[in-house]
Amino acid sequence: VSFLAPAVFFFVLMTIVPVVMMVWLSFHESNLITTRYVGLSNYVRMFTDKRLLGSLVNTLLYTAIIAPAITALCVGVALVVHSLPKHWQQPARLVIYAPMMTAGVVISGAWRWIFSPREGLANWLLSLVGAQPVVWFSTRLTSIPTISFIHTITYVGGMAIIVTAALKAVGTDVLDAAKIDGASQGRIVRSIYLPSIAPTVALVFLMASMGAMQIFEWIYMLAQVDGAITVMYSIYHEGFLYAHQGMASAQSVMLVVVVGLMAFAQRRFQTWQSI
Amino acid sequence: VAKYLIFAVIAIVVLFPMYWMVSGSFMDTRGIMAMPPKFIPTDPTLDNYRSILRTVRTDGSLILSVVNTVIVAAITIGLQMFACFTAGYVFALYEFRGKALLFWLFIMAMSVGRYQLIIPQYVLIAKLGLSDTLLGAALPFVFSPMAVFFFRNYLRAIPSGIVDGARMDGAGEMRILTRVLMPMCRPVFGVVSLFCGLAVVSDYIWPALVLQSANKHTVYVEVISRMRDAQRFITEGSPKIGLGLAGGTLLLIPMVAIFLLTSRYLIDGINTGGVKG
Repeated sequence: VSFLAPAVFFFVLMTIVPVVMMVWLSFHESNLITTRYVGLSNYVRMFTDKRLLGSLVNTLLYTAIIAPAITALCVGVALVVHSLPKHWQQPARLVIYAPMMTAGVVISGAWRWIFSPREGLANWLLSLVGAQPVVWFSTRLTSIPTISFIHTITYVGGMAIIVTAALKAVGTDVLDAAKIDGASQGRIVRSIYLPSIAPTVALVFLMASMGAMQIFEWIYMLAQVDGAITVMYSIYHEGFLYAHQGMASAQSVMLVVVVGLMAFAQRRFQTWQSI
Repeated sequence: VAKYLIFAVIAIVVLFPMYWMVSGSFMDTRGIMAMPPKFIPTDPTLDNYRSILRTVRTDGSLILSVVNTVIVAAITIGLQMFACFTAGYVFALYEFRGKALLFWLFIMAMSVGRYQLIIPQYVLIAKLGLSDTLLGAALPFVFSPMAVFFFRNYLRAIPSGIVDGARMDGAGEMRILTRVLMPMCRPVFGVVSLFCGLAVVSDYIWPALVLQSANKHTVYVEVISRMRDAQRFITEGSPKIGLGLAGGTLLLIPMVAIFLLTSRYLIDGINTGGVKG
């Protein structure tokens, strides 16, 4: 049992201790040099300060767009991949998973170019239909849908792979019976596939929400504007650029609690005896 | 036939940003700024790559950053293998008080995102006097509940007769661990160190915060901060956009290579990780 010591040591050092520090800091005003007890005022400011509240609203908007979008699209993508012949499926999975490898900081160079204010691909497409060019990463109205689009494209494939695994598990006997009864492809999808993958779809929805709530790199690389920033970006900004570590910790506490509750719900969907 | 077509559309959409970056890296600024956009570089140029090569030759910092990255990855992988293998061993073969609680804590720790604890972790690293050290850049990645579970699952599947037999032959705990079980876990060591290495190498924010001196930068910190500098001028039509895209492409190549070589494990990992937990 003493062999457990190294793991517990690192776990306590980099997870437990930071969690305790985070909670403690959230009731203080701190900038690494001086620290002052301020009670709940960080938590109050989080919901009253215009910028901080804005980041919270933005995060909820991202989640409201991204979670349904990823869920719906990944089921569609998974059904398409599943309908391909067997020897096509593995390469197909590779292709749709590939964007996850490049997530974040590296690929944002390409996105920045695509959504550049003047010469980007997105504005060129708009000009084809005669619309005026748009400064994509400026106001809430354009930046939130744009970032949601980028995030969805990046992660939809990874989620679809989870769904294809669930589709594979659907019993062939049920499918054969349906085919013998002359059920159409649409009917099979609606009456057999969708009900049997429902738990997985719920799981994917939760995972997509958790991912959306923690969006950070897109903002950091592409859109550091008030109309686009998320809570996670705000934590970084408050903590490292303003040296408001108490405030940033209060926001972190909120995020950890919300995401933690969702993770808890996710675990209940899953069977843990397998690990 | 329709399904092939639909899949082709999906593939093009998800792979498009990667293609766009690679194709842009072979264009000069006029090509990048051209309207309508060029979907294929019409007169491809290697200027962006030449200019990066020149930087590598004249300025040692890129090579130094590769060395730093290797050191950080080696520290992290070494410590993680040691801590998580031993923990997986205990979880797989022993019963002890508090096992269920610890197990639950580890599971909950898996849901904590990469940056959620970034503020207290930073404060802690500063208090420990590890700011601006490669060890400080490595520490948050060392403990991985995922790695503990990988080792535990693998060790649990080993027939108990093997361990009992070794014990009967008079082998001590340490000997069983290093001579019997460690060689058997070789594939797990491979997969776990790969995941760990990828996470460490491809992170930007944490090392950028911790490693302030230029001579301690990792590759991502070095390249991305240059990319950001270059791209900041994108609206003014600075000649450096292509440089940023070329830098990104160079970072992409090792990732894609590792991905293709290990895709079988990766996809299996997601399948079991996603559905069974």
